[in-house]
Amino acid sequence: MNTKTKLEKIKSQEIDIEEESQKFLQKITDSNINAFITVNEKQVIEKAKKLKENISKQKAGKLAGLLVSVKDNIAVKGIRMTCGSKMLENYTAPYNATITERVLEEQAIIIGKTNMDEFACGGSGETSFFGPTLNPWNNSRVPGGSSSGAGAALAAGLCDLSIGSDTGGSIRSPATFCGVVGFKPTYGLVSRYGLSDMTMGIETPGPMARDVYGAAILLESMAGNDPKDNVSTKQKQFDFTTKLDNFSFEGKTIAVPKEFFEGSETTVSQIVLDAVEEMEDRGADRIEISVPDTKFCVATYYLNMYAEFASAMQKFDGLKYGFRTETDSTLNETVSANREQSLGKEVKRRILFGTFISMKEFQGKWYSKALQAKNIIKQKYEKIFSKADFMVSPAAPFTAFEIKEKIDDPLAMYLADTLVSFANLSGIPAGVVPFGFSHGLPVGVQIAGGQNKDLEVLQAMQTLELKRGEIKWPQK
Amino acid sequence: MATKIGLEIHVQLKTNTKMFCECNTNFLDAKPNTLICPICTAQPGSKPMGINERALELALKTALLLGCKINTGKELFVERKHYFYPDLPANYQRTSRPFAVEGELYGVRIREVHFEEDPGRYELRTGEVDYNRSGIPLIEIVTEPDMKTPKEARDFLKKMKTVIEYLDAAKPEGGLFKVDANISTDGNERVEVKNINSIKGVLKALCFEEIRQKNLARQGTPIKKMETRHFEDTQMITTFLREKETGDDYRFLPDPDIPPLEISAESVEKLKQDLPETPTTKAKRLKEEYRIPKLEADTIASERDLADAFEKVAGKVNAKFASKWFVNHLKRELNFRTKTFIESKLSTKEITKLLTALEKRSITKHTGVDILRKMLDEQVSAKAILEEHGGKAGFDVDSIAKEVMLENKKAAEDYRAGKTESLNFLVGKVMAKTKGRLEPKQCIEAVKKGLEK
Repeated sequence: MNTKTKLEKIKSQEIDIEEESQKFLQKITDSNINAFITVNEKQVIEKAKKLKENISKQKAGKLAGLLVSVKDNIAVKGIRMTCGSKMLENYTAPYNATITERVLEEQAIIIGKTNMDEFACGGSGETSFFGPTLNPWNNSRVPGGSSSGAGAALAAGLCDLSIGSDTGGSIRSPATFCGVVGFKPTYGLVSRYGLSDMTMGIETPGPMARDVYGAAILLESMAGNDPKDNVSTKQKQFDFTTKLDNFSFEGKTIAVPKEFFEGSETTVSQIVLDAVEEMEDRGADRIEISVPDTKFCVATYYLNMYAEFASAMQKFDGLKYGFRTETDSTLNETVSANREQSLGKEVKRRILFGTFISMKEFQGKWYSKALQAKNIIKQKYEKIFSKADFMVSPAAPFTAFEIKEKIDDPLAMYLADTLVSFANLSGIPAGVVPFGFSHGLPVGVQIAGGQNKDLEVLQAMQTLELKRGEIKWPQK
Repeated sequence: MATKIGLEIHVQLKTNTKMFCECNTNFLDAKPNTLICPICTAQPGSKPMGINERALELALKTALLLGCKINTGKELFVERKHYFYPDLPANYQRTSRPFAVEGELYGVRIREVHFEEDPGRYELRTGEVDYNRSGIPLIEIVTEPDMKTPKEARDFLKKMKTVIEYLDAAKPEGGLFKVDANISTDGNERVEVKNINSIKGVLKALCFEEIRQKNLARQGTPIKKMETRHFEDTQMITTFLREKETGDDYRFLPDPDIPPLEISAESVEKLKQDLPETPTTKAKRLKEEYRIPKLEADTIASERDLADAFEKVAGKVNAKFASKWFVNHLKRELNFRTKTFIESKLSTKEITKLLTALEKRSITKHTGVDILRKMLDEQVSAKAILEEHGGKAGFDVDSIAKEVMLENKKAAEDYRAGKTESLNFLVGKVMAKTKGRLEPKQCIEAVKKGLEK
């Protein structure tokens, strides 16, 4: 059942929210994919009961009765927020992220907090302290990351919608690997207040769903100005649903960047090119473009990330909250021990790199150059989108890979970010919609648009979705 | 090379809310950790809100009063200064790049001014941290090493204090100042003394350092590496904290959550229109407007609240008379009690009553001072004392005159017999009994009245 139909059936009370919630909770219990770190069992039923009693009496919220999962690096008041780390294993968020507030206002039911790479450091879901998330399509494969639980939970039918976050592809990677819709909005469209910091200058929360409508209505609920986020848009409200169907590729220009296909598996490229052909069939003009700077994107992304991440991670000292080891040594030794014993290998690697490149000695050498490079990349993409409406590409050069295949090879892992980080560096919207399968594993098509063209990108995604038709979801 | 002293002065700005969140800043009356939120305690996911506009306005105005040039039309970054310490919830402090440079106040050059957020309060002994103070806006004023003696540093700070008081920019409960003092003496490397919370403390710390350093140089063991020392308030000495590494690395990073600020030339012009008088301009105006001597005007203008009180009183009584009284009596009594005018809690209404009585000569100067002292020490109102004294400062002069005449019958008879000198003798006795609290005229009248009977 698609999201739109489900919402209608909830409002007309054809669906009993309480029963539905129980059904989903049971599915989570039965599932073996480790998609959730915390399940909000008790409150889900309480909330469902309350909502059920009131749904006919009052105007239903946009997300009334939908079971929404939240990535575990986003604050939900009163619920544990681990960021996938031992450091925060027992940390309960004392406040709501702005987006949490907003989806609750729209009467969503938060079903639980999804598994993720530790502090979002990873692209495969394998670095979580709570164990890897498995790909529902093939349990020996990774689900992508870092919003790994979010993508996997949707594919496995454990929730209706997921809130993820995308710093360098963290929504789009699990979307393509799990065969679900993932959307990284324009930077600033969605408030970051309550999203644990990784690379503050480029990251954003975003919606994930089984269909584009689901992503659009979740985005609509979350988007808009927030005084608690300085980079937030001025506009108060957005509409991404009423005009979602009102779209044609007629007269649109599609840019196809050749570098994005060069390193990609043939079957992956083929599915994306099929999508491009479909757009052309519907009247779009296709232009081949070359983005030679693509190879600099990963370097630029990682330098930005290292420096900002190391700074952001300073707060985790285990003194105010978080993991604290038994010791009576000096303050500095205590903090070191707390961090040493509770942070994972990849997190430490990034903190060390970040500390190194932001040292006084290298001032002006790494981070400031990375910021400059980010600006140059941004300008390049502005230029591309002055000529084209969309850029279409794969979101990953391959389908979901084997668990443990790349975990000991950080460089290979980092390269998987090549096809996604451009959108973060340039602040533009980019979404992934599943469009085919290769050896039983889903392949998504990535569509990017210019600044603030979020609606247009969603419209294009939905057009492809309609062409593709129903997905036969994995049954487990 | 002579002694060189440079100061870094931290001033807590007087705002209702903190620098990057909406928490109340009234930490004096609050229980520990009650004025906090996810932002000023660095909970995972929290972000700074925009820069507190009132704080920015006060910061800019202060810099203008210090004669600084404002860095307009440029991107002004707020940076993160990283170091681990329990009072710093994020383990980095947000601190702006200098927004003002090249000022001068009373001959001391101001190198730069920037704003930052205050850390919380860490109690070393108990290991407890109170974050009520965390995030309160501060400015740091950095001078050039232009002061040559500890006394010069103290005098400069006193003047700086007056300027800041004039703007009403600082939170008085923050102790107004926290100072880090840099001092280098002949033959020694520079030493930074941290944690000085009062002007007196600056003087003591610097005097101690000057002697200590000179002794070290004399003994042939001068300070060779820059060091940081801690001022021990209770003992008035400085203790070694650490060697200052040139490699002190705070890994400054522009805060990605705070877009750079741009201060426009127009907004600075607007602020300039809105600047209060400085002690110097105020003294000049008082001198001209009330035709009082320069020295008196300077003294009155040295405290903004004192000057305000003077202007109110000078509208009701003779300004020249009021000015003299403010300088010769009020200021002196305040100094004696090391109190500021505002701390004295005197009201201008009360002062006016007292001065009116003095002006009408219904009390003597001496009595006036007595009443002022009572007002200061016993918090009694001038009105009550004046009424009690019945305008005669508590003496029934007629009965005292009678007494005197009974005790000096011979003198009284001599006067009645035409020996006029006896009057002076009797008046002298009355004045002695009333301890000079009465005007001679009053005494003469009373004696004459008594003799007539």
